[in-house]
Amino acid sequence: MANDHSSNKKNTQFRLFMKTFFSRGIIVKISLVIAVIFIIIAVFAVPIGRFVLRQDPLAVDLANTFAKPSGEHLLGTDAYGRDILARIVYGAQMSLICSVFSCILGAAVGTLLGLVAGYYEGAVGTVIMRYVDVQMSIPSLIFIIVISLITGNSLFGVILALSFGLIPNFVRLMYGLVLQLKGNDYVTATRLVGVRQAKIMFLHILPNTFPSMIVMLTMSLGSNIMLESTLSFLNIGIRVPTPSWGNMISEGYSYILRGELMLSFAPGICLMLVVIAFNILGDALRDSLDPRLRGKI
Amino acid sequence: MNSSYSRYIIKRILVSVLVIFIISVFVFLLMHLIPGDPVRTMLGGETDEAVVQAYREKLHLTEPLPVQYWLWLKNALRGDFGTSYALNGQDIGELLWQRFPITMSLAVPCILVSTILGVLLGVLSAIHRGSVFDQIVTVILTAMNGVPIFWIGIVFIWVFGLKLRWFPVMGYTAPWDNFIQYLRTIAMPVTVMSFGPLSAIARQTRTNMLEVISQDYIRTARADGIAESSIKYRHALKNALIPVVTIVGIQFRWLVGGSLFTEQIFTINGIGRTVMLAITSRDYTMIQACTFIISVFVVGVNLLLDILYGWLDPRIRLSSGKGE
Repeated sequence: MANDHSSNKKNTQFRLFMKTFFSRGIIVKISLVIAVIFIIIAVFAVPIGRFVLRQDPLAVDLANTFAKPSGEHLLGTDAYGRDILARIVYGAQMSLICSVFSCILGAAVGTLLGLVAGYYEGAVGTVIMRYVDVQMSIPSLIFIIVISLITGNSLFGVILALSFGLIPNFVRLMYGLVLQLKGNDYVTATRLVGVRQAKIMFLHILPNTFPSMIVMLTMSLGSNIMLESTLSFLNIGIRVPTPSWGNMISEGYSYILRGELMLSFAPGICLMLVVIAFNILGDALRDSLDPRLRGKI
Repeated sequence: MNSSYSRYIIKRILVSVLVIFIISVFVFLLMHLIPGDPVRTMLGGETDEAVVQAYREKLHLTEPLPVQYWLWLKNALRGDFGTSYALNGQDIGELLWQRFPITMSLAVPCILVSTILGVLLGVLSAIHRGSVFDQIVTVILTAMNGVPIFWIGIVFIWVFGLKLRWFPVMGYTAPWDNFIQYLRTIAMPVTVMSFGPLSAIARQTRTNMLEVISQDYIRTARADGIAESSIKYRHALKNALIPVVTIVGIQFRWLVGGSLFTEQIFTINGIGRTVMLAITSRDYTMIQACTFIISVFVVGVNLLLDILYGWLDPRIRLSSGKGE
């Protein structure tokens, strides 16, 4: 019976979640579809390129540059005769790899620092929060660029730079949440019973911050996809000839004057759709998981 | 001005000075964190060892670290950042002094436009919450927040510059040279740069407004029979706008980053383009100078806004006057 009751409750909660999540109507559904398609394409980029498109994103064909869209090259070719669609597919994979890994790394470090700062306050907390202040007074793009200079132009360097940029957001979010949660009776009770501090932090406080963290992660996923293309656009991210949406836009940009729009417009539209989709999903998740965050994230 | 407010101001100033100090250390260490020999990277691999050594000595790189830092800071505070390698020995301090107003002549209109439009849209969509207008505005604002600014800049150039020929595609005219021409040259860059701040300010205003409307004193005012429009526009709006001050500060910091591409794409020689030049040519002294100047500026703007915030909202200065 008890089991029945709790599963019923879970069901209602889930239904309520779904209802709020889709309450903004069709736009959230479209975003969800875009995000899912993006993730599938990114994950299966290699088989899609090889077996579905039958095109190599790196194959140069100087006899066939700026080809118009055709059965063979669905979106045409670029200045080196490379298939644009195949490059977009591989670029999607680059975006997803950079974004996912940098989010995981940045969220992990930021969450840990925020948790410690909020739980212990005092000197440790002050040092951590002052660091956050400092990083936040350097424009994030410049900060990320400087970090990527230090780490060198590699995939790992880009990931490291992007994750650094996320740290302050997560520290601030966690710090605020932990200060709130710490005052709850259940935390005081566990402390009085003699539970170890690390256990309180990780087992009793951390799980209660998950809803807000999921929201923050979704939003960061979108913003880091954009930042990766930004770095690549500025030629300090993913280097050519490895395809990335950012460096494709940057390469194609110089041919706009010649009327060759596909080169930079095709990856640009993909980038815009994906980033907006993740933002809308983040908004919807926030409204359904943690409405208190509205206006904060 | 009472004592709690002056204490609040002094505290904010001290914190800002501390932050600037830490930034200066960070910016200074940058030169030493970059893998390999920065002077060699800057001058290229085949430069004669004697030249490299002379350059090292010129940058005081042969001195012990604390001495180097002291020399750098002393000069930086006097506005002397050395000479630029990428721009053939031009004085960096002088260069930034010339280019800073150009970036500001883009950033200030951008902040003005996005604050005015953002507050307007935020208030209107909060008051007409749930209406078609509110829904459309919300979707547009979310989209504006997600559009990559470098790409939308390219689209603007193509549509309004090349196809419609409404605005010049590149170049810049200073407002004191020819104001009309200035407005024409900044129209596209400012619009593109305003996307992010406008979206953030409007969304924040909408949230604040909704929150304020649901509070007790508004209910009391309503119960008192005060006209609905007076409640919304006089009582609620005033309190909803206070937190917007903070958002404007955050956006200022963001704008400096945004100027990197807008200036690059629209070929405007401001600070953003200088930073890009410094980065692509690995001109570390200039990267140091630009990062430092920009950060000090951002800290300064935020300090002013903090002071304004404390003046507008007495709760802030009272709560920070106690303790700590």
